Amino acid sequence: MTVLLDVRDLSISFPNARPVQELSFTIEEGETLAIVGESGSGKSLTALALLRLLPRTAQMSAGRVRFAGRDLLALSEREFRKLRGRDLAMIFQEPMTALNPVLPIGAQVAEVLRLHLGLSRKAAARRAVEVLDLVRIPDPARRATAYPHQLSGGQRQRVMIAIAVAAHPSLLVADEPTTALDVTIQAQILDLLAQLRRDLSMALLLITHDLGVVAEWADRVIALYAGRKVEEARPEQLLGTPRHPYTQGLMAASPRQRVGYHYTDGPLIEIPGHIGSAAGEAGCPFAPRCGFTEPSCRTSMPPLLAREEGRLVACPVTAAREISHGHAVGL
Amino acid sequence: MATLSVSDLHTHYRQRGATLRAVDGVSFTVEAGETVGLVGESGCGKSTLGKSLLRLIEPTSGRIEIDGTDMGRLLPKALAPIRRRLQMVFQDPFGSLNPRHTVGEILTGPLQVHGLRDRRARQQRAIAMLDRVGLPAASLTRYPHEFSGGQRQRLGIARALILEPDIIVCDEPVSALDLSIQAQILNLLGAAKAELGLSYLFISHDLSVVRYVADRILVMYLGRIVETGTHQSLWAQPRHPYTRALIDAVPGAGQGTGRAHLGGELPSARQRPAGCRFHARCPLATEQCEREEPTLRSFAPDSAVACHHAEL
Repeated sequence: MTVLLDVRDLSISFPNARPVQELSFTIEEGETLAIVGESGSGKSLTALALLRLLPRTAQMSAGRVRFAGRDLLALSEREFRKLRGRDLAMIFQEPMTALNPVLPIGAQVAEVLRLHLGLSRKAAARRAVEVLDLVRIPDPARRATAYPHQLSGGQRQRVMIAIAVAAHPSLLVADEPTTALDVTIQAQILDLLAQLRRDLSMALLLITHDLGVVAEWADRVIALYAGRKVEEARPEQLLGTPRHPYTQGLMAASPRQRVGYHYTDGPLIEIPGHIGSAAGEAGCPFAPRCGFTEPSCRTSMPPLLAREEGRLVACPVTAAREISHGHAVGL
Repeated sequence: MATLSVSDLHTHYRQRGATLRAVDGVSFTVEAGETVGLVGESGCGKSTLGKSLLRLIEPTSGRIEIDGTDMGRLLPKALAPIRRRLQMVFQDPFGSLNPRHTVGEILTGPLQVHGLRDRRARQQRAIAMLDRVGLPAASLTRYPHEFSGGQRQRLGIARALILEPDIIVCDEPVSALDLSIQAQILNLLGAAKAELGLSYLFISHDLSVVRYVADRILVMYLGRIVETGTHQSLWAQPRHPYTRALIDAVPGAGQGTGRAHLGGELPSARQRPAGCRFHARCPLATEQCEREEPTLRSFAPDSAVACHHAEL
């Protein structure tokens, strides 16, 4: 496998906050990497930073951002515009605000084809219908003339995906692509993304808060907490035997991960408190809510330690406990 | 006698000359101390149903009884003491708390409306309630925007509890919250129920949450209940194809087994299909389903299904 995207030490700061700190990750060609986290974890900002779509007040710094052999940090704004939407595309949570409300959907897909692939007006219009068909918009030739408000939420998300994949990007960044959708529609859209990924040999960076989505659709997952990577693993590792106190707490708190557990069996295990300000205090950002802290947790961010194959965990305490007990920490 | 008994409830909206039957003939009961879960996708009418119970939206027809008293027939003045017994917790704790009122005003206001004249007594009740939901007494003088999402939902619950209701309609109470906060709120609702002997009608699109909280479950599709079952039976053996599809669509449920997901989308309640409402999306549909609307058939205590082809 070849590395498609290589991000080293990405940090994002605002005048009074540092929502992403020293985040490193790679995505291989054709791979689905999920970044999972709650609100305030910095997952959406990470996606925006990759596409140079951060708000003006944000400062981004990184040791390295290489994509398909190119140094993205060295590209001029003009060069980046050529890349964005062509090799590197993005879809958002709410398609209604990302689509142009006064342009028919076929024209919005065609625009990408003309801009990035240089197709003629006529060829682009024809190809747009094919792309709408690819994302399984029923009756695409007729539907191409419809406006976004005439479509359901699920159909609008399909149009967003059509626009994003029209130029056959090698990486699609999907920021909470199904959060606004119902569960049966969510499954359809994620199935569609999985199939497009295979058919177009496209890698997918899936930003989500939903562990179930990770379980079913990701090859690898990174858990973010307050702008820091706390654990990286394969989905079955993270969901089956989470190693960081935060991911352990999430699994225990989630009714979905404890199938059959009923309120008559007892309360859910809570993570006390709430996500603190990401203002860049010293130490592990999870320490104020953590049940396992030792003094060093408050002073410096624990390094990511390689555990078993394919897994990194930023917690020295659970590592030591597991070794001394000779088994995994159960919750 | 059921604490809450709803029979043949209809709530229709008039929209551009057409009638939208958001709730289209729904009957159920909630017993004392019971949590009834109501699941369905957006547009199925579950929120309209919840609001109709409190007459925040006027139902078109049907009966809503609390301990045998018909709420629907009461005039506003006579409605007040009954309404006290039925409260609501909303999804968006920010949109449902008045941003210009302090927490003290939010909590003591309902007490004043319901006739508690003594200002100090109101204040004391409010402080006791804050303590119950895990917020400091100093919250009284603060405004909703000063609280996090989870804390605001605690305030929403405090406001619902302050009148000592018997039943609370919880409309997606944890859907807007992060997973680590969800458990806190679900535990708070659970503790309040156990200590105060409350009943809940718990409306949610999240099957995993309903599976944890509910004793009995109602599954709603396009304005009607298509299946009811107990916590023990419904999840283990769903009878209606829609219930089965909902359970299968829970992400992570199949772990990428390649099972087929339900196609199509919820049709508009304005152009409700003839026959069974679900037939256009249903893998079992036959010609009978296009013609005849199935009625709820009971096959075990607390279990019923509206499907021509369900194995009973």
